[in-house]
Amino acid sequence: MSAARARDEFKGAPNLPDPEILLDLFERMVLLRRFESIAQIACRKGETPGFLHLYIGEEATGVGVCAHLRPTDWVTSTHRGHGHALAKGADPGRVMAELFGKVDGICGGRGGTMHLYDRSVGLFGTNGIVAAGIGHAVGIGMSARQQGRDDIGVAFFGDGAANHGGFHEALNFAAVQRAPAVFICENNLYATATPLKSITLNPEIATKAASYGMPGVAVDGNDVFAVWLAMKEATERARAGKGPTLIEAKTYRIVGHHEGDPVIGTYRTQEELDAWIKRDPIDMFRKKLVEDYGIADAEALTAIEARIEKVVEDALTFARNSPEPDPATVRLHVFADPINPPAALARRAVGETRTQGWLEAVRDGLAEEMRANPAILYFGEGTGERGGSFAHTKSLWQEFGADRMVDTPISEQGFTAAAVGASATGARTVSDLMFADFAFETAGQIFLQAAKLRYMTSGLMSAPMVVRVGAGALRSSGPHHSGIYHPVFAHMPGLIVCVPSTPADAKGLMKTALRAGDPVIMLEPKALFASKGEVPVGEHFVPFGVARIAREGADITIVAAGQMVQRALEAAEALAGEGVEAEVIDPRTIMPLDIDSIVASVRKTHRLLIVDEAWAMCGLGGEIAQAINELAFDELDAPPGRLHTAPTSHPFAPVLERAMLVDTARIAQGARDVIAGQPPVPDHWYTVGLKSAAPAKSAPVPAKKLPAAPPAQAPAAGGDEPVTMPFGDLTVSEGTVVKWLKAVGDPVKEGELIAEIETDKAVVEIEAPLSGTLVAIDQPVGAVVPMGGRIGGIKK
Amino acid sequence: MNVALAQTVRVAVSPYARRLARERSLPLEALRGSGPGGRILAADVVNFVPVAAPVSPEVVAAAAALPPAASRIAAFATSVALGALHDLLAALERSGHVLAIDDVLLRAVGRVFAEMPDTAKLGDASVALELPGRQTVFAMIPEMSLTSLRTMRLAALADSRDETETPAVLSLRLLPARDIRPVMMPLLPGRAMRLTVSLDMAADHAECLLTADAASMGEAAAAAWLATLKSAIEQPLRLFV
Repeated sequence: MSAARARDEFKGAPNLPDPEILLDLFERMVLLRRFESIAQIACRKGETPGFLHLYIGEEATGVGVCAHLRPTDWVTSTHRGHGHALAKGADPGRVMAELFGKVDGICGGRGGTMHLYDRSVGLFGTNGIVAAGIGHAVGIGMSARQQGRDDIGVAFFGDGAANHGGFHEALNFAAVQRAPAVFICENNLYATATPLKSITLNPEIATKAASYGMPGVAVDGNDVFAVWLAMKEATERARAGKGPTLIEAKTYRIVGHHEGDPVIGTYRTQEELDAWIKRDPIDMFRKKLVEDYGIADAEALTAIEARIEKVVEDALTFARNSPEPDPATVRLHVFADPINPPAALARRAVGETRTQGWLEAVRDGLAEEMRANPAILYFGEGTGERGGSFAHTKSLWQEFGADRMVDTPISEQGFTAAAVGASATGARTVSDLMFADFAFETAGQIFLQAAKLRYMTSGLMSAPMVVRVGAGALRSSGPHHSGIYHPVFAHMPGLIVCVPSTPADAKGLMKTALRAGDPVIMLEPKALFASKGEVPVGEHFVPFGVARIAREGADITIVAAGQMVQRALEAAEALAGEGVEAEVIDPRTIMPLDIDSIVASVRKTHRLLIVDEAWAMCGLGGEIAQAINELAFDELDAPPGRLHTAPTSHPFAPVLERAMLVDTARIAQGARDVIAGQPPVPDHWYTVGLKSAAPAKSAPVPAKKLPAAPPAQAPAAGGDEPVTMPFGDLTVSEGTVVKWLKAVGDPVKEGELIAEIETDKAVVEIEAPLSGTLVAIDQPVGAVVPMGGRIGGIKK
Repeated sequence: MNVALAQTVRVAVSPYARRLARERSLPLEALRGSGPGGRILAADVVNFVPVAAPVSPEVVAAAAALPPAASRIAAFATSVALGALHDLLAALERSGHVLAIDDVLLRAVGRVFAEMPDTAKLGDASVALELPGRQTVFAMIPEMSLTSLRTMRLAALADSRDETETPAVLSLRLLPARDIRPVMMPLLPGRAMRLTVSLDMAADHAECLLTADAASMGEAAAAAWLATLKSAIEQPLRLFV
């Protein structure tokens, strides 16, 4: 049947698309519903680790939106994202296997329910962090545009996210950039259990688009065709370069927040739930297809449902049969392997150098890489025409233009999220946060999104972005502009952390970072911006994880990075006058850390002093000293020493700041002390005086009532099907039988309520797992039963 | 208070100094620490000069200031039957391979160190052969043939080199007098162990005394070491392969 003729036959709906499209919408919704229902049962049986947030009731939104998307478009999603994954085309068996934590899951079992990524279909992750994916979609769209494609980024998020900074920052940035993106707010009225109306005085989320100068559309999120129509326009707008659209889809989840959470709880009413169940998206669309559009009869739709039933059953079988991941692989996929890009390892003849200032050298490195790779985007505050707060991007805007040297709003979270999304989809990005301190404004994007992406996806995706900041103390910059924080970043698996100390290293590390496979935290010491040094002319890369011997010596090893290197060299000169030759090792990157070079030096000098601008607590001094204990204990002729910036915030008054920072004289004295066998005594534990105070009396531990041992899985006498205490909330381990609605001998139907149990969090109804006769009640009313424990049995 | 405990004063030694002393078979008791609280440092080991060695007057003066080395030693004696070894040596001599008991003893000592890796940790398992007024040191390479060992020994006898300062874990003393049972022999400076051997008139028994520095080697280890040596000589075939 031709599309035109089919349309003619529609009753009263002249603008309908091809029937295949409509039937496909129906089929997709059924897939999402049946998949979630099967997952729900698996969760209750304890087959899925962790807990699940089910999409039941909201299918029309995900399906209506994704129907317009190509595999090369990307969607970002939420904690309630199984539906988005399936609607975008992910394989149901592999998604189910991921929920089971199995090796055939779409992320190899590393991601799980809230971290489902699939590059092959354009699924940029369900996400455990509210609003985190919104900015990713902005960057995804900008990345596609920069690469000359009209693919778009689409963000799903809930009403809860609409009150999160990530939403506002991302929408504003997207609007001003005319980003090819669409924002889909699935407004199901509750942020977990908090009613939308109680947390904002403007619950009409679509109207918030006006704040950012973009169209905002509210649609019935349970009407798949309404969603489809709204998304059609938004998609065309985005692809045409006219900018983003906010669509608010008003919908409802007819299950609890997560499996195990009460369906109604304290925040909803049965009447409200019943009213929404009457507006079930699948039932409504079935009726329309049959009665209004007349393009299918009930039988045809039943056939579709039967087909989908088979698909989800196969998915469940596939997940169950898939092996567990091999524990021996747990350390894989933290960083690219090898961690250095080939360019950084290529041998280059030592050639011509010239004297350059730090900022100029790094600008050259950036410009060289931006010329070589047109997909590099630079996001920063005032880094465009103005050339940056430190003149650190001077002239780049003039050469590369506003599309690549993107002047951003002061929205660290928003544009860093965009940098994550762009860098993971073929572009490379620099997110210039100006001061290291400001990184905490977007800590979630750095630590939870960029750093974890490679691992969560079992190595299939990564975010090769550079976070560029001016770091460290410089002339009374004060408490909010002086930190360096490299140990904080190095603590997080998946982040490369650079602290260069010379213009040549700063340029070389920046060039390597722009070719690497992982997120790089580039901490450039502000105090060195005015420094000059010899910089190789032309291609110059410094590999990660290779320390530099800044000065050779035989008597003591001093490890120092960033602006401490110069101080350590000055101290070494002073010591040389006393007959002590210090070796100064500059690790250049804190992660990876070239511990081998430090060990080799200690084998020569037998003494070690670590000097670091960051604080001592859980810091670099302790880290390196302990590594030497482990790797070279027999080489030590004295206890290792450490000198760190005093454990205070950075004071403003110059005299106080000087008192706080490590200087040349302190390093020289620290070295003398180590050589004398008495290293500087640190005092960053803040325990002075605590010992004399009376120890706080610990409250007596209440005798814990242990739940009854799991009733031995009573031998299924005669092979009955066990009725079990359902698994649910992670924090709940047992439940009490409240009521049996059936007696032994009663016939039961599959899905029929047979008992009620109560946990600390909810009253849960137990449904019959199959039709038959209730043949056993093993746990009477009042019995406390651990989750998964048998409470009765049903025989077919 | 437990008397034994009271006598065991913990000696503070830097890890590197401890390693150096171990490598040189220097008893820590012989060293004086120059670090905080008397901690023995690498320099104290490297600059250590044994009192017995012929040294310049300044060093003697410095050494004299050292506290007397508290020679805490363990000594174990055993009598080793040489019948099987004699028969074997005679048979070899008939086939033109002349070997002396000295060669076999050196070989046996090396083998024991190889068989008891714990004791070899005392340092590189070099053995010093005590000659009149001097020592000559043999690196104990388990694979080296007895013939090569003999060649090395004869060469050392021929020259007048003194390797008293060369690190070795053990010194081997063959008493010229016969029918004497050694009962107490001092350790030589820088040697953690000393094996003294005296043959009887008929040369069918050897009286062996092992003196060991208790700080470097446990008593049980020293006794086991000597028992292994006895077994090696009494069943000598293994020493020839």
